Amino acid sequence: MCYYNGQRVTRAEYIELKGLAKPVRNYDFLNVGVHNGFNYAPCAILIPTEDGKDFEITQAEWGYVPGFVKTRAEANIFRAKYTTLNFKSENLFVKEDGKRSMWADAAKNRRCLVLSSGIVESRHIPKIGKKGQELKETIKYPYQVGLKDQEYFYLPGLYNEWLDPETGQFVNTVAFGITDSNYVMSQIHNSKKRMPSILTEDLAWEWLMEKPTEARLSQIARTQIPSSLLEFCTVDRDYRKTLEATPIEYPELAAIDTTFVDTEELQFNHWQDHVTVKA
Amino acid sequence: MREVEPPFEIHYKGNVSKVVEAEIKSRRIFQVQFVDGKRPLTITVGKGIGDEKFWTSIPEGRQEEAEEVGKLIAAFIRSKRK
Repeated sequence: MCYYNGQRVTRAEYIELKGLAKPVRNYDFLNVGVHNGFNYAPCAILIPTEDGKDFEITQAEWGYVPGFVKTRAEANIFRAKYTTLNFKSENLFVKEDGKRSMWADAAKNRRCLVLSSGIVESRHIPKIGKKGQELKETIKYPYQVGLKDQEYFYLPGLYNEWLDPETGQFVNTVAFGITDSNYVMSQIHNSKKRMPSILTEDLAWEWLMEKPTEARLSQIARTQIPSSLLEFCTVDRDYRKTLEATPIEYPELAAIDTTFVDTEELQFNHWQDHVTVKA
Repeated sequence: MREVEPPFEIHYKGNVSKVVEAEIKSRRIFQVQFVDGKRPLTITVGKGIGDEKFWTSIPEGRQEEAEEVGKLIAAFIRSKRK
């Protein structure tokens, strides 16, 4: 007879319950529609196996926590203060002031890929005052943005295995890279004009499995996907609560301008071979 | 074959927590995601020495929470059957 979690169970049941730990740990929970970063919810990431010859899918909390953080409470304060959901691809190894970036060690040793089926960003439209003037206050219109004809795509990630002292367990935490927005994303994420760095399959492999130089890694991290490869639609504002992005029309909202997407020029467009040439 | 429950919500300690079910190694597994930043809790139903059923966490270590949350999940599923 054995005990599992303080309960008396048979040996067979003990083995079965114990045997669930690993598959549960590796279960990807990809059936969740929207990951709200501010809940530090688990998301699916790919990390290389120890021998570096293969990779495995595992879970990580979205919101990077460095090793020096001691407690869960400190971790949440750290994440709220520094918003480590994303890393600036321009600062992968060196900060604006020329000092070593806090991401440098992870960029060298703990790169991963974050799997995404779509992101949600809000477009901010100024409210109109009584005299018809634009006010500082804005109305948010959330959009879901994904890739045409691709169920999932890869974002360059940096992860850290953090020891949660309250449970004695290691927890993966992750941040993904962001870069300057393209033409469409500049209109959608118009408050910051940034977007996730979305990688081609070849670049995703290089980021995860190979040993590129710092310069090359910085170049990969800054990848800008062309507007023409994106699909997007407005979604219901309740997505943070429901964790589902439900398409919805906002009749008062002007359409996104796509006039120039086919002639768009981006400094870090590494998707040239993937753009469909129109006849 | 029994269908996996679509994601649903329970009210636990004053907050709304999301529950996602999965079938792993023929077991019903529930992952509970908390909004207050606490680590997600994964639970299942174990069978005691006298065949009595009990909620338990996977991995071990969070038995009390497993029992509290498990009761809420069971109540939710029962209420759907009525």
